[in-house]
Amino acid sequence: MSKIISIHSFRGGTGKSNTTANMSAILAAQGQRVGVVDTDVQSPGIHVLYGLDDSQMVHSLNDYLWGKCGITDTAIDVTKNLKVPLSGRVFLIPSSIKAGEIARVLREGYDVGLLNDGFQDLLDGLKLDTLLIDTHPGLNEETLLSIAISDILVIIMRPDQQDYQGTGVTVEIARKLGVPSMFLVVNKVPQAFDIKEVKERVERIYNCTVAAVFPHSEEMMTLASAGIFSLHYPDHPFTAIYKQLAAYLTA
Amino acid sequence: MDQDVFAQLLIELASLPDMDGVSMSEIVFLPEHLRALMNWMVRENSFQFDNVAVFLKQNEENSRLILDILVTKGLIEEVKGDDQEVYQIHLKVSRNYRVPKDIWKVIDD
Repeated sequence: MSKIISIHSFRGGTGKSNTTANMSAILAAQGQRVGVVDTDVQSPGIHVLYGLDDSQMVHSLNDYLWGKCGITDTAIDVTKNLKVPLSGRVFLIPSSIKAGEIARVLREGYDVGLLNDGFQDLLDGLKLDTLLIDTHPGLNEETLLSIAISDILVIIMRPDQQDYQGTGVTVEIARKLGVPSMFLVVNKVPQAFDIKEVKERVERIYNCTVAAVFPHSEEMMTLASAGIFSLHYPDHPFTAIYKQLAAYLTA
Repeated sequence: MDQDVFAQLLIELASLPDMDGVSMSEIVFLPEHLRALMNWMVRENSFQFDNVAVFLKQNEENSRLILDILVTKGLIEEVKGDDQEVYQIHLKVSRNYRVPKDIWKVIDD
């Protein structure tokens, strides 16, 4: 049974794309066929983590939304880009990084229902075990759709007052949309904070399981999205936390 | 879904104006029972009459009534099916990014 998992945050810069990419690598290492959709059409970026450049991007999600191609035509097998042998596969469905195309999709909008059809076509066409949706931060129509159709919603937040408030809104809306399973991830926690205390506090506030708490990491900052952390640092404590998160998602 | 909930669903539907499609943000603020039905429909993506009857736990007559109201109100639409009618939520086109035109003209140029 395939799963749709949305990775979301209310505010930008929480580590959403990094978490998504790491989940894709860990699940593929377990033998899964994983699709990653970049629905952040306003500010796409996850392709960078897969070392994808313009020349590899023949079609994008934007082309599908404009009826130029089927959604499976936009999928790029990025498994080899990861440069680590994986028993599964990772397919990326990128959003366009061309300024004119970003402008067009923002200006004209698109049929959100096409996304729903497209996600189903990806699951079937690529025989995916898991479809990961990297969403745009905040709440807009396609984000709400992604949340509504997800089997699991992962909300990433930092221990910051603005994040606390925004995450509360997202949790409330996810509950209204009947999401079957929801986990919180707290990222970029200052080293001075007590991880256990942060986990307990966040769980208490939102009445929701915290699947992972990541302390602020210099190594992550140094990698600067030049690759997927868990593949670069397989023995790092962070990688163990990513694997712990993956275990929640596959349970 | 018991008869009380079914009756409540009819009341909720009656309170809705005719709509030319529905947005996800509108679904979030629908009343409870209607929202639950629409959430299910969004997750199903496309569905047939039988599926709706099973979800609603209602007989054919009641289920048909609900479906007909949803179509009339513009919340769902019939799409092409092989032998049985297939329905989908009628989602509105997302146009929530609008900014002044001249900004995009600069980018386009």
